Amino acid sequence: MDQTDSCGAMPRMPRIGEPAPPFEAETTQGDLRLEDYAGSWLVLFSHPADFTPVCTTEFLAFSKLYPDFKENGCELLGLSTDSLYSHIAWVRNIESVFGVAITFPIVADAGREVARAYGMIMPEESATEAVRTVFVIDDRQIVRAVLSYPMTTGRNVDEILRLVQALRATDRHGVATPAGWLPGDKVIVAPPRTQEMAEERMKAGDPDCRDWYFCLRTP
Amino acid sequence: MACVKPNGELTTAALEVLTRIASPATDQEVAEAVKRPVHQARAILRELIKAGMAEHDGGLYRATPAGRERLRT
Repeated sequence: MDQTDSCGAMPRMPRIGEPAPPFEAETTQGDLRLEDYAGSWLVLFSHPADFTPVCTTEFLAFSKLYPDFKENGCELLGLSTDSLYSHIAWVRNIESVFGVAITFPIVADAGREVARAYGMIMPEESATEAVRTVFVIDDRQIVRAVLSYPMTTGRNVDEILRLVQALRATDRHGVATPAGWLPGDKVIVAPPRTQEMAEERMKAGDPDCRDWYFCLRTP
Repeated sequence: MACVKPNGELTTAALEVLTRIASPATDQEVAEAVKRPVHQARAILRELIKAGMAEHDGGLYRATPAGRERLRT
């Protein structure tokens, strides 16, 4: 897939709704391809560098919620431009210092092939390291959400889990989710497409309809 | 190759996968049997195919004669 801009120079970030760029990469759990995740959701996330404090806190947070991601049919795959041996040493260090095992794989993208394909290198931030990007990729390998954070700011992994849960609820029930939605909360019903449907909705007197365009329901 | 150690021995995970496909199985069935995520099972199966110890046909994976021989040693 061509991820270059109109000048053909800088790779661009895949957009929501596009197929995720395929890759084959060396990871801490052997060579993996994007297609290995077909049928499962995937959070592909990059971090700038191993053995750095913000990244370490993020890996601790991802590891803590990994069982929750898996419960939601979603796998985690980390990535940085560090070497495989750096990743292995860092994962071992995290386990010995913090007592936390990192059980999801991490891509060693020293050649930056995956980082470039996903637009993870932002030269204004760093010419060599990936910024903190998150790609939520669905079970059909379509990009469903994209987040980018600067190097200085650790991500909120609860929010990333919530995002996956919200997207899956949307797929299951054909609804949208309001701000701060959490599983179990009411969801938003699609607005009516005609005046007649709007009238009918208002006449129904549903207490969960605040107005013709704003109706909630239990999923 | 991640499923073959530097000394030529198979990793524990690769041995478990190879043992499971002594009788034909889908990637999902392999993953369930070895209690690993499907993506890991697929990656190991791919490497076993590259090593000539497994083959894939019609959605099913099975050990080749070379793979069966490896299980006996």
